[in-house]
Amino acid sequence: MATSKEYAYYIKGNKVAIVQKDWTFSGGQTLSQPGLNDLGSQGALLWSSPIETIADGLEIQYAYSPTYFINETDDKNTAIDTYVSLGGLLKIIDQGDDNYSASPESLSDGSYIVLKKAGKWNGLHKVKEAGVGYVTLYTTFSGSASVQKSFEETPELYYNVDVLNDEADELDIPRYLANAVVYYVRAKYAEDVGELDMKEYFMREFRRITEKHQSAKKKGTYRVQGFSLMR
Amino acid sequence: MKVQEVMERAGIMDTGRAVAYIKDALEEMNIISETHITTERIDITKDQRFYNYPKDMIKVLDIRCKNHLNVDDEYRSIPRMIGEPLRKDADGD
Repeated sequence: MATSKEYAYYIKGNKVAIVQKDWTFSGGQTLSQPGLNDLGSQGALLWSSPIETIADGLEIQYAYSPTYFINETDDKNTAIDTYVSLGGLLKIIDQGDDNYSASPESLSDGSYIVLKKAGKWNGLHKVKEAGVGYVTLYTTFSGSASVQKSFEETPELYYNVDVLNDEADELDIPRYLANAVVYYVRAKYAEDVGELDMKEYFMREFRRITEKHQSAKKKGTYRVQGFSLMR
Repeated sequence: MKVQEVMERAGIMDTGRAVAYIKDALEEMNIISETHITTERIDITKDQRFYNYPKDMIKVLDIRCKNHLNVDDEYRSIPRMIGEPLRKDADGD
């Protein structure tokens, strides 16, 4: 059976810091106590970097911008396993040597891919070059050119992707929210020509529609779930 | 709604600039009201404190850890610390 742990986080720059209470819960009737060196002001010394490796231990739920649309979720490749830096750009490598410039991926300069389950590389990327066993992206990456780093999970590379870049593209949001986008674009154009009153008006409409759409998704009263010490 | 319709409603002709502003709008919108959410799982590594956020992240909605205050392999939300712990990370970050 897994053991219970206690974690917390804090933000530092563009990273999330995970700390764990360096303290083992006692089992049965055996009480364990911290040593003298473990005690600090308000028990602060009990918190440290994670004390053990846990596969898939951290889960981050987040919102992302829908600037792309995956046409077919079946059109994916899961053979990518490592990455390196190539002249300051991210090069993802497939040890199995699939040919990414040939069908079905058919990637070339200017193509787009979406990576999922790729940790910090999640999201849309523009392809610079593709070949047997590799895809070089325009994404910048400062790292070793010789030591390959492994992805923590098996990344999913989606190659049938439609990117928001021309007039024929459809916004992947409800029609009501698309009206807010119109207001935002108007606000930006008003700002460009120095019409600041108009800009403020359009931005207010943008926020009004967005917030109205958000509140329209809720119904009824809120119910708060408390913790054991909360009344 | 297509990009073309947004441009017609806003009365603009410049596609490149319109698309750039539409992308800005989608980002701003997701900060206020989430339209697209996803979940990413990352390995927790012994003695490694700092982890990168995904590149496409606009707004964090929840941070959970496996077996946090449970023994059932559940992922539960973890609290945010006010301040940093006294024990610093070995890599000096």
